[in-house]
Amino acid sequence: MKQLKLTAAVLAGLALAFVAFAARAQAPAEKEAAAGKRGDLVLRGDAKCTRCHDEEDSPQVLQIGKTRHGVNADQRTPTCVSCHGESDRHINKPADAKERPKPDRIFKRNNDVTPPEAQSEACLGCHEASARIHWQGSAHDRGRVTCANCHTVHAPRDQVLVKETQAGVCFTCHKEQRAAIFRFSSHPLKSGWMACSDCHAPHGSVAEHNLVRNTVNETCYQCHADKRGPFLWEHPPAREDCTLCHNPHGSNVPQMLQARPPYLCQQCHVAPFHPSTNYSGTNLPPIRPGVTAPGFDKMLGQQCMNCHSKVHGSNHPSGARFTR
Amino acid sequence: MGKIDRATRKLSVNPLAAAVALALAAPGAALAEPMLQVPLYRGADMSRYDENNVELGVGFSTESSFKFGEFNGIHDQGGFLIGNLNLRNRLGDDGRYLNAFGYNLGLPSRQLGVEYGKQGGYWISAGYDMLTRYQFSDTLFIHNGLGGSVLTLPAGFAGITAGTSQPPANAAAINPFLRTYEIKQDRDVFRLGGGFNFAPGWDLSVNYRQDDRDGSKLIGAVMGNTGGNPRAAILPYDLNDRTQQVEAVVRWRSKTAQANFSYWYSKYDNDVGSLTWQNPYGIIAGWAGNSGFNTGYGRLGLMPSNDFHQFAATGAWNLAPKQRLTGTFSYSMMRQDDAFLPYTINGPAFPGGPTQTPGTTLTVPNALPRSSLDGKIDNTLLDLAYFTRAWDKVTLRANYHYNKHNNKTPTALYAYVGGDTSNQPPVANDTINSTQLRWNVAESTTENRFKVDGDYEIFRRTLLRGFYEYKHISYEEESEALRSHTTNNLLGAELRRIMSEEFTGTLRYAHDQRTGSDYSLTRAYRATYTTGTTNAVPFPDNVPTLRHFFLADYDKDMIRAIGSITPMERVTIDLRADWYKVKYKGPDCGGPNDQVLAPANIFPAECLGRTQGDGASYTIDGSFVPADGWNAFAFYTYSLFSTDQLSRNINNTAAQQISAARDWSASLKYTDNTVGLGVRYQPDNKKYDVGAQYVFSDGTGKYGLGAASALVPGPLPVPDTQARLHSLQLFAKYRYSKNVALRFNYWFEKYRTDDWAYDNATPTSSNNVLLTGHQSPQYDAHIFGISIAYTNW
Repeated sequence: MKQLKLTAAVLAGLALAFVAFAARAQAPAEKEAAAGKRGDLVLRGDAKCTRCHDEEDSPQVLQIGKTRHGVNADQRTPTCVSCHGESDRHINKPADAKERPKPDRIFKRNNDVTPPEAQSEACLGCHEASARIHWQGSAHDRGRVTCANCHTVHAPRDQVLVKETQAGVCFTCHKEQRAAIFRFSSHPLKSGWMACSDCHAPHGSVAEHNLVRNTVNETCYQCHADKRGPFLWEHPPAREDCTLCHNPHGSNVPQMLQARPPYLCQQCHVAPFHPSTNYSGTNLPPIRPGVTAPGFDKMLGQQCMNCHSKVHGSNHPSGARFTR
Repeated sequence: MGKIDRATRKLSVNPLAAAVALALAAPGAALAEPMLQVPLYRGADMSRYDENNVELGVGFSTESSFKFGEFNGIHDQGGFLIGNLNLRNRLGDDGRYLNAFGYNLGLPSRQLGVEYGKQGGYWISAGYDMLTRYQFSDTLFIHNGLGGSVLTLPAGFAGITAGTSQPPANAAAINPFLRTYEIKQDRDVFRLGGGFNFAPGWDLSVNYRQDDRDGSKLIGAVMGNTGGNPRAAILPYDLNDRTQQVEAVVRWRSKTAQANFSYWYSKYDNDVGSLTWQNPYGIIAGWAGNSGFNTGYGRLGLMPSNDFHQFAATGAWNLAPKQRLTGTFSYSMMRQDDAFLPYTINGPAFPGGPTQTPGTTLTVPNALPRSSLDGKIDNTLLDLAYFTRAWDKVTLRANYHYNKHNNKTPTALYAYVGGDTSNQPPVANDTINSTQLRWNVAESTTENRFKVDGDYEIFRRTLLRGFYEYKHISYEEESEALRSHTTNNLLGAELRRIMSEEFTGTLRYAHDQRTGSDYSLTRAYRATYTTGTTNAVPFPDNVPTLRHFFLADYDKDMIRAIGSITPMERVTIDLRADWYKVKYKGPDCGGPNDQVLAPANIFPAECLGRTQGDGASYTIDGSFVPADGWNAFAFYTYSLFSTDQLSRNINNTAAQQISAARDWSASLKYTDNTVGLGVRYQPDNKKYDVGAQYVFSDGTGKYGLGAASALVPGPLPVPDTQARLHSLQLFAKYRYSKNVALRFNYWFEKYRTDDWAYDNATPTSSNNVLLTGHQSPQYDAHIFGISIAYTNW
């Protein structure tokens, strides 16, 4: 079955490659057509910029022609000055200026020309709807993070918009999370199968921690809908907040648990007999000579969950103790 | 060679096919990058994704390790195919495009997608992602039917005899029947989406996602769990479920206002409702007749099918320049109505109920109060935010958030059959005094939260920020929570200095305090036990000064310091430190509050449960450009998470419950040290580039235990747990021509773990539980990859 899936995936990939290459071969180069009609190198009305910022001078700048911002057929496509301003002083350097003044709006971090909110304004003029509706006043906005701090507008592919590379951008500031992906138990983020934005909305949201859904649990249920219930027997902390027991960024305890059972469970359960027993290294294997009655069933394997396996909730009529 | 069993399937590679693939491999153009790992920094080489490119090649792994291949798919020794493609094409001058991508096509964890559209007009997309989680390759079981929903014992198995020290005393009888069964899960995700701009300022998108999971997972299967007679076995259960999600969003935008209207539907279907297994344990005291080996069976319910609807509307209005009002309203409904399993699989059934097989003499006189739960939880959310930058030096944000979690699930009295081995009480009635009769509880909460956050530029490029948050959560009277409400007050300040482009610094302090209503341990007890029971035994058996940390009062201090320095053009250094301490406390741990029925001297001076928590994360991070063409980075991160807890080892006698001499404590401390180093070189002519990346991660768990005088002999220390990773990646790319490049990768990873929960534990090491015998993973993996990449510029 695995071999079949593998073969199917490779064949599907090659078929896609063929279709796309064939389509490309038949299509006129839109960039060339646009340039031919208007005399602009990349975008409508950019000639006053590309007069200097040509392929010799600024090949990276012209890469914008390969992005969605370089599609002239889309009437919404901005020009250079839409984002950078008319920049007359930059274009016509004043005679008394030692250095050429910078454009009216630049997007470098902590620069003297354009404050963070003015940088983001340039983008929000077109992009304030949809996921950016919560941007103003969001945690990143208040932290003086700008759009350009994460997005690379002139690059053909923006690192933060590719699932396999996105985390590298987030790790610029979220350094503990970078370390966390190397822990024993983590989500499949290290291999690029998941991205930070599967759970977090970097442009802001109504939820704490900028989560993509209204609550922690609602976010987790996107992929773990089996834990959603409602259950006949609810485990209150599991219903309240998955992160009371789990660390979603990674943990050295199996199952991304915050701490090791039985101690984690015993932080809330102190009842007679085994819930309150002080389990220890006594009788952990290998069994020492003379020990005849090993008593470590709460310390080995799944520990408390050896019996209480339904800690996320049980729908069994006899599941009040989360064992069924 | 690690502890993991290597007797797993090998991925066979047909050499001819591989050669043909290479020969055909005009495509493929990845830049040199670490294999199968996300970049650890911004500025990663994106050329793999920039252009039309296809990469094909072969790789080889020297190691069979489920842990190494847990998510990347390289779980077996042998060869594998390397296949990546990225195609981006504009189809004309009218804005149409066709994009396709495929990553890791030669591995079990792969992604494939295609998108077609006209920019500014419409789009459709489809995707298919596959992920296999390789969890355990060395798990051992005695049952037949592994991977199914009914597990039986093999012929000749004589059962685990009654008595103490089972299964250890029966190892010789159990071991011959053990065999390996791998635990892994496949997740196949199919995506379909589309959208179009249907009027100026309006657009609609619809996305569908289907997750299919197949495989098996481990679960603790228990037989008899009351009265001190539990017996359990860790077994695999059949995982075969599907989650479907549809989300439709209509968006509207104008220059001064925007709105989103959405509907999200999620449906979870589980094809396997239960796990049934033959009881391997001989009958013991307290079990009903014939419920043990070999006539008795056990059954547990698996996750019930359910569905979810959410309607949401968000609107935002720029009231004036630099002032914005945003509001969100959403209404969600969770529903679950799977048919109940009967109380027990072991008969005879209650009169008129379903026939259960095989029959035992278990007494089950009470019928289920209803055939299914009809579980309903509705959530109502309202969020309003006002934000302004109307003043030169001041910004201000105010936010109100309301979230009502309304559990409408009907409650009823359920009789309890412990582990398919214990008899029911003869009558299910609220006046009966029996701990085997329980009410289910529908917990509802209401959260009100108000936040205000402002900053002021006290000097040029120096901001002083202050913030305050009030959060009140009320728990309805009939809920299982131990308090009727909690209140958080969080107050903080932050100073941010931007000296220049080269230096910035931030210092932040916040204090969070939670208080709340009287803490009532009997509240949950009264909610779930019968009146007959609570009248007869008015006080629950938990120690009354236990405080659940997620409800307890606390004081929490948090400090953050961030610095970024660029001492010279080619060097950047970032420093970041986060620290917090939280101390849990009362209320009223030194004396009775509403637990008036408990003797006053039962209360110790300090609350039991989690008493303190600490966390820290310190990072130094640098990037360096030593010369043209060179890039290097390095980082070190230290992380700490620790908790202290206090408990009391008791039986059900008052003498023990009031005895401070039976107190014990545990201090759990988890630390991580992570180091990353990377270097890359590419000459001016870009003919080749080479790089290396090394990551070291050392995570240690320490378990400090203390015990008072009555707990003698004192407990032995618990060993540390440890996970230590060395990961080295060497990578190179040689550009053979403008379009063709060769890529080479070598990846060495060494992993060592110590975990007392698994190490040296055989299936028969534990009293009362038949374990799986799997060991904590170790591996030394060498991965080689060579591929050819074609880029169509």
